[in-house]
Amino acid sequence: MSEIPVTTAFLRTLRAEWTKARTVRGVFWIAVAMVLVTPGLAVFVGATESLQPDDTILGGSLTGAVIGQVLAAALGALVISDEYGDGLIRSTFLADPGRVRVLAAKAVVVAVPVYVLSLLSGYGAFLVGDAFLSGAGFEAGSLMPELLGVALCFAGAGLIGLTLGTALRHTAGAISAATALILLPSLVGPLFGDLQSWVSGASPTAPLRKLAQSSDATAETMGSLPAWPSVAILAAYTFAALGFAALLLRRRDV
Amino acid sequence: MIEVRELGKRYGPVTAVEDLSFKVRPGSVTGFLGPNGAGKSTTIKMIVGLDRPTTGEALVGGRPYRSLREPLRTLGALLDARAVHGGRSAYHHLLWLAQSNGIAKRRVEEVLEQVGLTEVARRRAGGFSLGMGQRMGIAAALLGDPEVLVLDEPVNGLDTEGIRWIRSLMKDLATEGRTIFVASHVMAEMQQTADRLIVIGQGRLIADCTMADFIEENSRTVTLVRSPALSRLAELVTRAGARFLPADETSARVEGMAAPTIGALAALHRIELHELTPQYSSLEEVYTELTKEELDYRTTTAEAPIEEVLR
Repeated sequence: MSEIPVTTAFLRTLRAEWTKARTVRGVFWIAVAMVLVTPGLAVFVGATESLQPDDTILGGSLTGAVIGQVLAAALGALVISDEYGDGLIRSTFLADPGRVRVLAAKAVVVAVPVYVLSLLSGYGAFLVGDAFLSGAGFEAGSLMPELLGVALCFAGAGLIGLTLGTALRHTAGAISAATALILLPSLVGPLFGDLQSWVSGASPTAPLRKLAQSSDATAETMGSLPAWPSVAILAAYTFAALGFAALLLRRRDV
Repeated sequence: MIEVRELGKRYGPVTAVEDLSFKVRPGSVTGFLGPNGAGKSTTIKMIVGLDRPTTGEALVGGRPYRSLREPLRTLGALLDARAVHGGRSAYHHLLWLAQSNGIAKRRVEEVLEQVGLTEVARRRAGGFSLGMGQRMGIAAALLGDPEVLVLDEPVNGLDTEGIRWIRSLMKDLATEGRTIFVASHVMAEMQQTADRLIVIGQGRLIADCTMADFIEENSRTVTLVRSPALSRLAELVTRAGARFLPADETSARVEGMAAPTIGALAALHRIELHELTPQYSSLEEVYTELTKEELDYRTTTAEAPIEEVLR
């Protein structure tokens, strides 16, 4: 039997995973919702001028980005948890027994489209917010490279969803867990007193808020760590979690 | 060729498969028979690399499944008709499978044609009947034109036409020299299709032989006799080395002696016979008997005679 180069094997699996993702409706509609939610809320924020005086237009326009992150995580979870729901995961591992390769392909199928779409969505949200708020006395805020980082935070959320979907093997469970992981730290953070900046600052939403130059991202609430190192921390624990999911996947029976 | 060597699988304290060794050879349909819960599906999942064996190994063409590079070209499996996303069409399901193994797109159309799903290939698979789902599973198994086919309960839920279709397909594929391994819990089904048999019960090997040998070795002749002089007949039959099992005052079952011999014996000794009926035990009965003592949930206490229980 002829051996197949590692890159060919990966590209084949990637292609198969891409076909899977684009041929079911669930993934498509979550992606649509993820793209629309941030500009949609920017309309609301812009029309009502519900910003703090020290907010930037970018920060206000990206108010809905947290919900966008939750949807990115749902998308990431669905890409694998759905397969456990209907037994498709068996077909997947029959076709490619290289389980880590399958997970890596799924990670690319989640992260790349989510990155591109959320970049467009974030820029779109800014344009919407700016249309309402320019001339209202708010600073615009710096767009680049911050929006690139915002898109990274979306991709990170998508991979956290994929990790939880892999570990929990259950769609509703994985999406609930991902939602909690993204939203809870900033909600329960104040309960931790002095530790608030550690709890909220470590959440996947913290680097996004910092990049958006939002008035929420103060040193007390989200720590004094600058935006980009926060992104690096998010990336570090996302990949660590994904690695752990890969180990589980290799060990477990299907 | 599938080779299973000292395969074992434990789930905590429960042993699903124990010390199982057998070979499945090319060119014939090999039936994998056992009652529900005997460990058939677990064994198959270990063969195709989904479950990790606790002991031993399973090889496909001399290699563990997980080390195969384009596995669908070596082994096609039908595990579960519903291992499909209900929202995806049959065409797209087969397309991603083909892409993952570098199989040409043209092949997708070919297998759809072969299983008769071309017309509905673009419809959502969720709306498929059980039979259509099973055909789609077969299409997926055939996609890579594999040397080895593993089918777990392929006729489950099929109508007679579908059952006939799968049977002739398996025979044709075996004739082409492929290795066909079919699991079923129904003996009658195997009797129709399999050339060889591997029988397991409670995770252990019970038989590994040809279908003809299995029938020969395991079916016994039982003859029902009815006579007013049963005790005399009993004496003669027992002396001749057969087993005499009285049923009631006037009837009994004789094992190990053919009906003509019993009749001749009775005539010789002028014993009046009212009935002499040969009863060949069906393969189904043989199989049930063979696997009975292997069943996990025995009902012997309920069946034991009351005197024995009280004693």
